[in-house]
Amino acid sequence: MNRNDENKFLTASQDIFPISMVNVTLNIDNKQLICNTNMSINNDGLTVLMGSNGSGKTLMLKLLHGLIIPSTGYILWNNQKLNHQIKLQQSMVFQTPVLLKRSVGDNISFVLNRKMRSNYQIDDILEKVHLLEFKNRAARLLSAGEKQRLALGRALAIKPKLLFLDEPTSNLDPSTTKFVEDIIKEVSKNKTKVIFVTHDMHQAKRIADDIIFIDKGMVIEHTDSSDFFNLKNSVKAKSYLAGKIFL
Amino acid sequence: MQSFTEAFNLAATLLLEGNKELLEIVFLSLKISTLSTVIGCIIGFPLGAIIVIYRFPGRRFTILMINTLMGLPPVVVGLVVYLLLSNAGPMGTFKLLYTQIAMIIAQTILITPIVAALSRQVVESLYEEYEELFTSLLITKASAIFALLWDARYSLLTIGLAGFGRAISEVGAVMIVGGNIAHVTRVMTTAIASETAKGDLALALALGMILISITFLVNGCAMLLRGSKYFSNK
Amino acid sequence: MKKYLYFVFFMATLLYIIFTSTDDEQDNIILQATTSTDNSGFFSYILPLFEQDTSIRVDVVAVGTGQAIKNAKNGDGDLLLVHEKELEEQFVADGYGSKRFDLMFNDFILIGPVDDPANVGDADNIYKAFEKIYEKRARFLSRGDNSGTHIKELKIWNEVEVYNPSIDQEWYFESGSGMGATLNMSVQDSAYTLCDRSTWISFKNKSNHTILLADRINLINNYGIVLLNEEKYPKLNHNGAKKLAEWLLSKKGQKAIEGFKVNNQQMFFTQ
Repeated sequence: MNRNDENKFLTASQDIFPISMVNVTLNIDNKQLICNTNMSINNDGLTVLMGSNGSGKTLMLKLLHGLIIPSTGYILWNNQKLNHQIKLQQSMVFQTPVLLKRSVGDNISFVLNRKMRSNYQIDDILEKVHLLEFKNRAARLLSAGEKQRLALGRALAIKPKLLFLDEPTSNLDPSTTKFVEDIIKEVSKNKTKVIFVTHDMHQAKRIADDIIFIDKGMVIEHTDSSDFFNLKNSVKAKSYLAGKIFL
Repeated sequence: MQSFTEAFNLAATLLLEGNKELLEIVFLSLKISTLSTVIGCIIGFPLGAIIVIYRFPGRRFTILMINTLMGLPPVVVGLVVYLLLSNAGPMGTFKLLYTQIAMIIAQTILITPIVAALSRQVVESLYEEYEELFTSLLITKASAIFALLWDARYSLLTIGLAGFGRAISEVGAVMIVGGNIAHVTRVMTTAIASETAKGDLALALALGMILISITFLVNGCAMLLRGSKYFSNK
Repeated sequence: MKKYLYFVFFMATLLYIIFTSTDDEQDNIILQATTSTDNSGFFSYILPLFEQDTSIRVDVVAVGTGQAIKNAKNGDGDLLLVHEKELEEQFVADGYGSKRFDLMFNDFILIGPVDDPANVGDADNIYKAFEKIYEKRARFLSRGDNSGTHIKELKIWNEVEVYNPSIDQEWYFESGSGMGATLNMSVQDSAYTLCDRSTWISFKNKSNHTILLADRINLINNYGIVLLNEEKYPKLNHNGAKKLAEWLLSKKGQKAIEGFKVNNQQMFFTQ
C-alpha cells in the first residue's frame, strides 16, 4: 500500500450501491454450487443471508466480497465491475477469526497502516470492542469471544462502507453474541451496510432488516424481515423455519 | 572406555585454563558459522516466502532445486567453491581461496537451501491461514511477505538455528576452501579432523565435546529467548 | 523509516566484519605441504623461527602429495613441499615449477601388529617383507590416495613382481585417506601399513602396533621443495616463497631441521 491508494480512497469514495448479481453461477470441480443467481442488494439496513449448512451462503458472501470469481455471470457495484476503489470500501469478518501472531494492538495497526492513518485510533477501536486492557497481549492468547471481537474491531477499523460477516457468532456464548450483535446493529445505523451470514433464524429475527434465504445454491426468497417471518411465502422457507430442512 | 574419561578431563582442562589456541579456534568457528547463517537467512527467508506468494515461471523447478540442494554434501560444496576461487578458476583474481571469506561463502551455499526450503514450509502453512484475510484486506504481495516472515519469527528462529547447527558442525567444505591453516582458517571441525589424523583421539574427542557444548548453549539461549515475554507477546 | 536505517546499519556492520576477515598482508605465503610434515608438528616448530628472521607469515595447507601438486598447478600455493621426487621433477619439467631442491629426508617404515603374523620382522629388506605379506595373505592397508607414501608403496609392490595390487583381493585394502586416518584404521584392523617415520613417531594412537621393519637403503623418503614458475604464475608471492626456500636450505635452516625432535627422536635429516 502506498500514499496513492490513500488519495484515491479519499477522493473517490464513490457510491457502490446497489450491488447486483447478474446470472451468477459458480462451479467448483464440476459441481454447481451457486446456480444462476440474480439479485440486488441496497444501501440501507442489515441484510441477513440465511440458509442451512452447505446451502452456499458463505460462497455467496465471498462472491460478493470478490474473494472468489463467478464461473459465469457477473456482479456489479453501482453498475461498475469490481475494482480497487470498490474493494477498499469493504471488509470482512470470518467465521473463525484469522488473527496475526502479534499483539492485540498490532492487529489493529496492521490494517490502519495500510491507509497510512495515524495509530491514535487504535485505542478508540479497542475501546469499542472492549479490548483496550488487552492491547499489549498476544492476540492468539485471547479467548474465542475476545478473538472474534478483535476481528470485528479490525474489520471496522478501516471504516468500511460495506461489512461482511460470515457466521461470526457461531462459536460464541450468548452474552458475547449479544455484544457482537449490538455493535453490528449500531454500525448498520451509521451508514455502513452490513451483510451477515447465519443459519440461526432467531438471530436473523433479532437483527435483520431484510433476509435473503438460500437453499442449494439458489436464492429462494429476498424480502423484508417482518414479511419473511410472518408470511413465509415459499414452501422451502416454511419448512426451514419449521426445522424440516435440517434433515 | 579410557578415551572418554581422558577426553572429558582434557576438555575441562583446556576450557578451565582458557587455552589461547583453543579459544581462538572456538571464536573463529562461531564467527564463520554465525556470519554464514545470517547471510543464509537474509537470502533464504525471503526466498522461501517469495516462492509461496508469487506464481512465476520456473517456480516448481526452483522448489525442486532448493529441495535437492538441501541434501548437498559439504565436500561437493567445498569442491565447487574451491574450483571457483582457485587461482585457475573464474574468481581467482579475488585471491579468496584459503581465507575466512571462502569459508563463509561455502557455508552460506550449504545453509541457504536449507533455510529457504524450511521457511517455505513454515510460510506456506501460515499463508494458508492468512490468504483470505490478506485478499480481503488488499495486502500487496510485498507487504504480505514481510507480514508472513514477521509472524513466523519463532519458527524462523528455529530454522536459523538448524542452519547454524549445520554450519558449525560441517567439516568437508571448510577443510577444502579454508585449508585448515593454523590461526587463520582453523575451526573446531577441521581441528578435530587434523587431531584425529595425528592419532590424538583424546584431544579430538575433547574438541568434539566442546563443540557439542557450544551447540547446546546456543540452542538453550534460543529456547530462553523464545520463552521470554518479549517474544511471546509481540 | 527507522526500520530501514536499522537494516542499513546492520548490513553495513555485516559487510564490515566480512571484509575485515581477509588480511591483506601481501607478505604472507601459502605453503602447499604434505600431511606427514604437518602432522608431526614440524611446521609449528620451524615456522616461528623463520617468521622471527623475516616477519613473513607462512600459511600451511596440509594435504596429500598428489593433492598438493594439483593445488600448486592451479596456482593456489606459493611454494610446494612434498615427498615424491619423480612427480616433483615432472612438475618442474612440465613448466609448472621453476626449480626443485632436496630439503631433507627420513625413511618409510613398515608397521604392523606386535605379534607379526607374516613374520616380516625377520625379512632382510622391504621387498622380502612384502613378499611374506603376500604369501601369508596377511591384511595390508594401503593409503590408496595417490600420496607420496602410496606411490612409494606401489613401486615396492611392482618390484615384488609376484603381485600387483588391485582392490579385489581379500587381504589388500585401500583407505583412500590421509596417513593418520589410515593408521587409525590399520590399528583397528591389525593390518600392515607402510608409513613415513615422522607421522608414526608423533602418532598417538599406536595401540599394539609397532615398527616391524626399517630399510634405510630401499625406503628413503626424500622431501623436496619446489619453487613455482614465475612466468606461468605472475600473481604469486614468489619473493616470499624464495625467502622461505633459501632460509630452509641455509645452514641455519638445515640446522633447525636437524634439531626437530618428537619423543626425543630426530624426525628429519639433512645431507
